[in-house]
Amino acid sequence: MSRILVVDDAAEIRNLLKRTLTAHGHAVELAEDGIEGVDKARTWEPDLILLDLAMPRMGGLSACQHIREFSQEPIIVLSVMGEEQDKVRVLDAGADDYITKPFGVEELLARIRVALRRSAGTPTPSVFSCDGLAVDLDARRVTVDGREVHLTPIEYSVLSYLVRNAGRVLTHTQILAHAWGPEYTGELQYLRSFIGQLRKKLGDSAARPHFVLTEPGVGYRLRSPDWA
Amino acid sequence: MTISRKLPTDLLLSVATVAAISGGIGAVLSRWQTGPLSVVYILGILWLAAARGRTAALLAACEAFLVYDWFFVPPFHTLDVEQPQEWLELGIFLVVALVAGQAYALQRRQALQAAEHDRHTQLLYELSTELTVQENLGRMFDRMLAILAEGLGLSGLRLYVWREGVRELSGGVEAASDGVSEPVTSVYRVPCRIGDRELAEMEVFQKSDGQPLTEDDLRVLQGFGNQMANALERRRLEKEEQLNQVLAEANRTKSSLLAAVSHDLRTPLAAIKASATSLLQAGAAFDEAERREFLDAVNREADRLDRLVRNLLDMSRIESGALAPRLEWHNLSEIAADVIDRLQPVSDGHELQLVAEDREFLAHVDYVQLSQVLTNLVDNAIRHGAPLAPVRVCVADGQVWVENHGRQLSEDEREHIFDRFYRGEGLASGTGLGLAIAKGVMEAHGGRIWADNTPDGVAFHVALPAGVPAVVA
Repeated sequence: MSRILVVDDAAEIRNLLKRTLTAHGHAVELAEDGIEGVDKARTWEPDLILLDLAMPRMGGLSACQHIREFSQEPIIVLSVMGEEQDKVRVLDAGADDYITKPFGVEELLARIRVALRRSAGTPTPSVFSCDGLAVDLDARRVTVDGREVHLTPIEYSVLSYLVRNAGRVLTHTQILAHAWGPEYTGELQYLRSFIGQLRKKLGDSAARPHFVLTEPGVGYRLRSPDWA
Repeated sequence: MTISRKLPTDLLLSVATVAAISGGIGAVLSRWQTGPLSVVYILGILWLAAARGRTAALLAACEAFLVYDWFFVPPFHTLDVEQPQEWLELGIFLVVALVAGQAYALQRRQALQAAEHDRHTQLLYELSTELTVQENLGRMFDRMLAILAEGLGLSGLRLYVWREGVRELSGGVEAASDGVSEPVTSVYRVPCRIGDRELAEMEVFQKSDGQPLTEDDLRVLQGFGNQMANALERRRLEKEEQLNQVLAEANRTKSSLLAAVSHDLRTPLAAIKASATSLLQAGAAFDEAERREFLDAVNREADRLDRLVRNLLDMSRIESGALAPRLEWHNLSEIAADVIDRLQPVSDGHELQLVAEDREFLAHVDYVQLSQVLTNLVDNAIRHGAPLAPVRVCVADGQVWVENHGRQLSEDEREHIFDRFYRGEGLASGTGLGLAIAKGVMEAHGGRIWADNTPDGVAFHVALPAGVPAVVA
């Protein structure tokens, strides 16, 4: 189905991922560190790259920067809990998404699906629909279970950005730069309160939001219909 | 230098004394014809011996001899003598004057030396007492040096301690420069030794009155130097002893940690191994439900291992002081819900409930660390709660508490429950790390954590420092 390059220094993870991804119909190539990864990203021309963050010789961040010099194929970063700052750095350096180890295979496959769909250039349908939330991007109309929701221009701007990237993590910086402009990227409080209001208007619970999910220390992610 | 400086004064005083006495004798002799009065000079000579020392006394003796001969022994105004017994008289006078002056001066000097010696002994005693009593050597160097410099009348004193081959200035006193006197120069170095090892060195500056250092001063300085060396050595040994204790404690900690951890690591590993080998068994016929049970066990126990490893990492970060929370405004109820959702599948039948209004409870916390605290508290509440009794996580502004139903805490448990490796009473399992980590994290956040008995169980409270985010509308 797709060509996936797995870059990880742990042999067990590499082999397990190869087996799982192959079983789901993907062609898989393996690399042991960042240098080999960059090399194979150039020669083997994968459709998607799974990239570990902490590796000997060349780590995930440098590898991501190198790969972005010649390729725009999606990169999903594999990381562990507590590396939030590294995650943000690698996402801002052009990685598409991340997943925290230890992860379930289902979750990984969902991330891969979202990333591949985006890179395949499938145009975002003009109406996004997921679990009762509907966003009509042409008409700028938002409904929850058929009821219309009135959003301020900035709230709508944030939501539509999330919708166009549904299923994918967006960093605080990315959202702020998109909705307010690059000079506001430090204003986390703006974002915090706007997301709070947005959730309230979408009928989302503060403790267990269903649509706009928090990626602690990194950013936000909109639930994707692909996940189900 | 001493002699040349004292000599003019001695000469002047001796001449004045002899002149005064001679005047007196002259006055007496002019009225009354009386016997030899040369003995009166002895009084003056003794006074000079006492006041000025040997030189002045000897000068006065010679001057008195000449003046008496010149003025009062016939023929007058010559050094000649008429009667032979007068020579004898003069000779005896000279000898008596010299001997008396000398003896008196010697005795005076000895008395002065004894007094000085006493003073120095007293000084050394005070300093050595100071050295023994003081716990903190570093802080008192200056004070000790000040006492010593003042006692000996020194214009300055510095102490250099040898540290790994480098001379390091560790204290010193210097007389305030009045801008007039010449700059003080160091005149002497006193090594502070134990055996052959030189631990420190004192740099001694000249005396304030310009006098040279006496033998006695040097003796005091050397005595102090030796005591200083002893004190430094004692401090080194004390430090070494402290370090040894710390290392021993660390060793004990490591052993008990390893014991607790290997037990706790083995439990989920055993479950995973058992499940996996069951599934691998050739010829075993499991139905779908049974296969799923084994796989669920593997999944669940892997999560348990993950939590344990995270705790171990946190513990080592707390121990090494590397647990720096990355504080951001987070919604406490969201963190609590996330923890509940992750633990519900492994709660052994305890229902995990979130009690919170549906709104944001913002707090300035490290998301990962606070979620670890709540995970540990909920895990603890499950393990110590009555079977199947619900565990509640309650959220309010700046506070989260975890309640269970079950056995209450004894006084001893309440006191020690947050200590490392404390396992509480009863048969509970666990590394005794979870609550210690929770406490460490809360302290790093500037918050508090405590346990209270409730009417039918225990509540663990977490309080975060108050603060309201600047919300920009």
